[in-house]
Amino acid sequence: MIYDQLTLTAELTNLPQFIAFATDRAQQEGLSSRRIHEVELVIEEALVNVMTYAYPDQLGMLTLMAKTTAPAILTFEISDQGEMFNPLDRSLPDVESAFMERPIGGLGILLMKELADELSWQRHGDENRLTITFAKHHVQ
Amino acid sequence: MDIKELKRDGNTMTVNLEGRMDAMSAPDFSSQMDAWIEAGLEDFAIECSQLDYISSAGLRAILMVAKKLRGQGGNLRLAALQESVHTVFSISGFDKIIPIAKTLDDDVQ
Repeated sequence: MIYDQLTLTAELTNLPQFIAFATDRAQQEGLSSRRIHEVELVIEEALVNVMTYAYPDQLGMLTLMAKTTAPAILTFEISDQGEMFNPLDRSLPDVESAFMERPIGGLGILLMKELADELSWQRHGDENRLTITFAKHHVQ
Repeated sequence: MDIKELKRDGNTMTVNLEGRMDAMSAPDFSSQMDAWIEAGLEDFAIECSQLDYISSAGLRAILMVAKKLRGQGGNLRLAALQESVHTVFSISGFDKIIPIAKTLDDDVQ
């Protein structure tokens, strides 16, 4: 198991560093450029959710951990000590609704669920832990 | 992300997006578009062949601009999306509500 992590304050200006970390690990695993793009997207959505909902009023720390759990399986774990927030509980937007009624929220969760192979969330003490798994070859 | 004005003709403007439209850069798109709409422009074609990445923050910014324009009788269409960007539009159903053309000169698909 290869294990690596990056901890920074949960603020948008640190997003490029977190994404670069995720991209680097995905490249090391030999994921295709298309799959790496999807990894970047899912990780961005997950991190921005933590910044917005787990730390709505205060600045806390955010840890992005990467590990290889099996051949061609890349797992990320995002942990924070903010308010309890389970992104997987949020309702998905109606992608069939008419233009002017189309909601502007919930799209990030939808993209995460569509593009990651597995998502799971746990509350450990005062920590939110979101685990995101990517298979090298994603089948939609 | 770079936002460039390619062409202006009356109230119509062609815009080019280049780079990544993520949670950090999407507000720049919103404020630039708001400035152009304030200046009286109401019909936009957005050329996206050099847009490498879009996240939900970018989708939200585009939807809000498109709704604002529609409310004022204006219009926004996109052209030349890269495959990875198009996938994001498809998953979110945005390809059904925002006109997308293969190239700037093509009719909307």
